[in-house]
Amino acid sequence: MYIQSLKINGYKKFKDFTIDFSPHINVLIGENEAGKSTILEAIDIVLNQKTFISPNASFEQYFNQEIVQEYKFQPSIKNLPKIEIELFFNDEKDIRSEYFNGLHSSFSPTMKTGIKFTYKFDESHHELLDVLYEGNYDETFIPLDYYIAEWNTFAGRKYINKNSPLKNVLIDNSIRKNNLFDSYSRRIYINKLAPPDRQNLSHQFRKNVQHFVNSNTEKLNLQDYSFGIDEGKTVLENLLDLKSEGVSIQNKGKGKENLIKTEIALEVKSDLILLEEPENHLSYLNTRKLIKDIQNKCDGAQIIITTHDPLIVSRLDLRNTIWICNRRYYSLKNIPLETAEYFMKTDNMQLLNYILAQRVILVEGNSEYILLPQLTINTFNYTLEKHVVELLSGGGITYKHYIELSKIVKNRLLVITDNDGDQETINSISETNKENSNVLIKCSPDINEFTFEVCLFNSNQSKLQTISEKKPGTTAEYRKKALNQNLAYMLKNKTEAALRISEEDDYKTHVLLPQYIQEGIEWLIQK
Amino acid sequence: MAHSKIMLAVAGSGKTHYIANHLNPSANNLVITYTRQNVDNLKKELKKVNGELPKNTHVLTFSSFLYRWILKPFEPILTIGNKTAFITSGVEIIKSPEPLSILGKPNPRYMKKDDYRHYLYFEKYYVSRMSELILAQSKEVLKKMFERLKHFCDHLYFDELQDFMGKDFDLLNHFISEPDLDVFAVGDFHQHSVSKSDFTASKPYLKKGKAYLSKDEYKLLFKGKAHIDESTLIKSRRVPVKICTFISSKLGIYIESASLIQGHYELLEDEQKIIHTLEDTDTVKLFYNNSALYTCSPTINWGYSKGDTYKKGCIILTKTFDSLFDENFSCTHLSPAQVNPLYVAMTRSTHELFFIKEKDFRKFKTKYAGS
Repeated sequence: MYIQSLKINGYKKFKDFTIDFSPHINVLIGENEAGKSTILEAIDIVLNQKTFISPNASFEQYFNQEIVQEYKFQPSIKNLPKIEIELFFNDEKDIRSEYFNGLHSSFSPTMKTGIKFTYKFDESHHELLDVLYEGNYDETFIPLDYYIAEWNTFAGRKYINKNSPLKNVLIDNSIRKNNLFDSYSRRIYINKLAPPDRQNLSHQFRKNVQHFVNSNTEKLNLQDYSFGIDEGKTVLENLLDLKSEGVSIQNKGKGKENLIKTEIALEVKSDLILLEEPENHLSYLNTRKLIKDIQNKCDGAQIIITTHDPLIVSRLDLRNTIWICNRRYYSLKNIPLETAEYFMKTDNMQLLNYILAQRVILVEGNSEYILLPQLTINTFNYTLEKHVVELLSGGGITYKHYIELSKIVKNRLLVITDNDGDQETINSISETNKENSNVLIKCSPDINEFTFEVCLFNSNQSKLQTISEKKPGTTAEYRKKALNQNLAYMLKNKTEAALRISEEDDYKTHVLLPQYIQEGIEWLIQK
Repeated sequence: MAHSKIMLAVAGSGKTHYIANHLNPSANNLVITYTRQNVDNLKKELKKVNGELPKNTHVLTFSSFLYRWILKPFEPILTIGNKTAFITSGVEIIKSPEPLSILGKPNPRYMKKDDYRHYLYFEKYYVSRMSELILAQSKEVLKKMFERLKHFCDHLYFDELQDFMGKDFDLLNHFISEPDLDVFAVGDFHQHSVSKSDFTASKPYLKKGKAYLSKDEYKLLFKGKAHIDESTLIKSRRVPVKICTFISSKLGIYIESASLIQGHYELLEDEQKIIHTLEDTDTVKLFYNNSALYTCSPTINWGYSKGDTYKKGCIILTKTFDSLFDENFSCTHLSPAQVNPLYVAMTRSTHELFFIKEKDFRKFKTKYAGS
């Protein structure tokens, strides 16, 4: 059994949000605060009855703020904020799934298999509250004392985590909360040992504690009283600590601790592994080791990972990525295999930036990468940052892989490329441009302008008349063709020329973008 | 065609044993019986056969089955009298619904079927009206219910078939008639009308007409829907030879013994013998009712002994049966409701069975009646 989807209503960031998962690996990415961790939390709340099980705690902070505002604007019992989280499982023809299957979900009258968590006003207090509303009651106050948390299966039966259909473990390596350690040790213990063994160990433990008390009665004796052991504190499960070579893994340094925790989790047979930012505190090499472990050991388990690490995203197959943005999700599962493999092989460190950016310029070479920010200011009087444009270097002909990505993440992509002096290239680019409204490929329409430097020189001839003086010996030819000496210099020393134009006062604020790039940027920054 | 099988058995022929041994432990099985005690018996037997309870085999009472499997999952689309999509909070096990009439007079507190209170006591289902409620649903809803059942369950076993009466019987017949649903039902026809259950519809098998059916008439109710097997569980493994012969001749209920024990039965009339037996803690004393009032433990009511096995039993007869040992005794003038409880009581012992006449016991009644 695995989690097919999760529906969140009114919890934290999510007013109404649904996300689908694949049965194997799911890599959640997104900006900070996009809600990645909230998704793992929500699963934990439903499946393991976390957080809301403790009485007397205030849960006001968990409500979706939009819903709270709506209530405050129009306070009534009907409008009281509530939280609903539904966890949907795949359908299995197994009698044990029956306990989860029925119409008690938001999909009624369609049969679904799963669990629903609700945190809401307890209707049995209805009358009491009616009275309150009539009096001088502060209506914008949420009567949390009359709220109840309920877990029901879609069959309408009470759910308790003892009946969890998925053996699961949550490893939270995020910087924010790191004191979940003992509960982690406990979960591993529960997953690893069968109930009879746990009972036996617990029994032995208590017997030994009792033995200790019995054999020290005299010393533990006071006049009218005697010391005993607090049974609530001597619960074996609460005292467990994971050790590696005799040292508590809490004392092994964050990176090591993280690695060990994840390794152990992967070794224990779980149906579901929830990993929160596994890359934290890990070096590049250790992150790679961790990824290998995940790939080799997960063995049929469903894994849901949140990450900020492009290495994890690309190595665990881009098609497993789910991008969370603006309270929506975009699955990259339909990315072509070729594209996924391309990113997997290249350890592309800018991949995550690419997906998370709303507007991207992808350039072919270093020169464009160096010059574009400055020339944009010179040409348009604004910066690329102002329009939240991410400038990335695509390294050659690989832009088609990025286009595949953009088709799914729907960001606005401008590709700046060369026509290589080939009319066919120009034609095929204009064909490709017709296919996607969010992607524009720009090259010079003139086959004589076969590369960026030529275009740049042609549009800024007067300003670049002396650039070759740095290397007076430069011959006025390129690839055995006669050329202006300055242009020849730029072509033969591409990076040097670009750096000089971006730095030297003669050029820095004077050189403008070639026409085709100007057109491209104007298209890109449109609303 | 008819996948379903009805097996008519005699008392002590090993119905529970048969189910436990014939059930495929790797399939999805649902084993349903009337009483909680029988749920435990079935689980015990299944554990004995398989080492542990097969993980895909669920054993539950008929009322739990109706609630958890049929009603509860569908509440959002159920029609309960004049209510729809009502979410209940469980099953009412103490209160019974107001009947249509009391002692032949119309009951003003009776709720008609178009009122949800016909089926519900506050937010809970009346146990005795769940089958009726299910049968009152639309064809579409019923179809969904059966589809769900078939989805999760490969084999459906019903024990205590004879206890299904009234609407429960109609519903059972629905299950049996359902194509692609593999139902196996086993029961002892002659143990019907012997109440021990959580609830037994006090209604005849048929909607109208005769209150009681003969075994042949009963068989006709399943005609064409299920294969009826009357030969596999014909012999009692519990009841010894002599007692079987005695039952067959006196009660007119045919029962054969598969036991190697000849057995012994005896009418006690000697006071010393009566006292000795009543005070023997290895002998279970079977009273028609109110057995808990007597101090000569262990004691049990005839009806409640259903499913039990004792080595030695002692039946305290009722006036009706004081003449049981008379040569010309006949029970043709008695109803199954009178005969069947005695049949149940008489089929408990594996070795010895004693009888005490009502008029003889009366002398000791005060002696053994607790305060």
